[in-house]
Amino acid sequence: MTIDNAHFNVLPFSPRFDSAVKKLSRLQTELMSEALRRAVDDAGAALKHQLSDPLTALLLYLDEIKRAGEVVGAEITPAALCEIVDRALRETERVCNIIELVGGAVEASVDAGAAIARGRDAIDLWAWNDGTKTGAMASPVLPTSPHPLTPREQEVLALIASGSSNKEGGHRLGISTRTFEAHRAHLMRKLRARNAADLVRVALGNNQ
Amino acid sequence: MTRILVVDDDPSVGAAIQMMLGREGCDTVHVAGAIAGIGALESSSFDLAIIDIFLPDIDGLETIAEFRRRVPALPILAISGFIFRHSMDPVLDYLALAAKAGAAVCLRKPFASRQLIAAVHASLASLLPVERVLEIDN
Repeated sequence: MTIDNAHFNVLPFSPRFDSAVKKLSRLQTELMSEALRRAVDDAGAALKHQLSDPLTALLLYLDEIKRAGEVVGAEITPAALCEIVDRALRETERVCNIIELVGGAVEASVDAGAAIARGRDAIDLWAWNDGTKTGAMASPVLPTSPHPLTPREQEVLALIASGSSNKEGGHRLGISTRTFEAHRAHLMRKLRARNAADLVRVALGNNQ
Repeated sequence: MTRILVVDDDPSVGAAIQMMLGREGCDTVHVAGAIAGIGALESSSFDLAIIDIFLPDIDGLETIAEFRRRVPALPILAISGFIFRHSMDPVLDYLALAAKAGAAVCLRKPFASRQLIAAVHASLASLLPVERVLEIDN
């Protein structure tokens, strides 16, 4: 679901939102969050599946090594023990390679601020899966920012609130994706938002 | 000697299970797919089959059902690492589906030796009715 240009052009790019667009934005955000959460759930399940084989093998090999050291008369030769240790190391490497692949799937960010903000976003999304937060995300208490937003930041916030991606937002403002990302990172720092959902709440809260 | 057939496409998991159960005094045969598993079942007799739910050739659930059709008395231990944590949809609960297909016991990967041994013993226990499902939690 996207907001078409006709709707978008009525946005005044100021803290005051048109109420219809606001409702649409909220609906869009909810739908996106749900889709995103589902995608993250599925990605998490697939990742767990991929890791489960080497981790199972690793656990079994480590149990064997432990047993060789503990059980009297385990009758395991040094060569056989070396072989088990080698296998355990290979499984550990497999786990490391999978983790490496997961890391490699995340595109590099332009600057440290943007990188931290994106990393925080990703960690928060993955945290939905860790069982400490069930279902919906807990509402954060957002302190009032002592720093007023610049006109550009207000534009970026409006675009994020309406569900624009970094690429789409950059395109609409005639700036690069990376510059948009950097604005977004500054916004997050200023508003002490932990993720895009926090930003949206601020955007909607400021204008209700 | 207890003969166990392990059907898992991951060679490391197969080898590790084989090593561990071998030390426990079991004679373990490892095959990488459902078709090879059915072949092994036809040419030899086993006391237990350990089947991974995600197999490359035939769906593991179908494999479990096929094993049940061919050798109804053979207990089956289903293993899988795939789980949708927040899913409320029973269709996506693979281990529950495995139980429905006829697995006596379901074990979630990753598991340690003692969990596998407990699951093997539970599967082998003839007192366990086939319909009863015992899920061993990690």
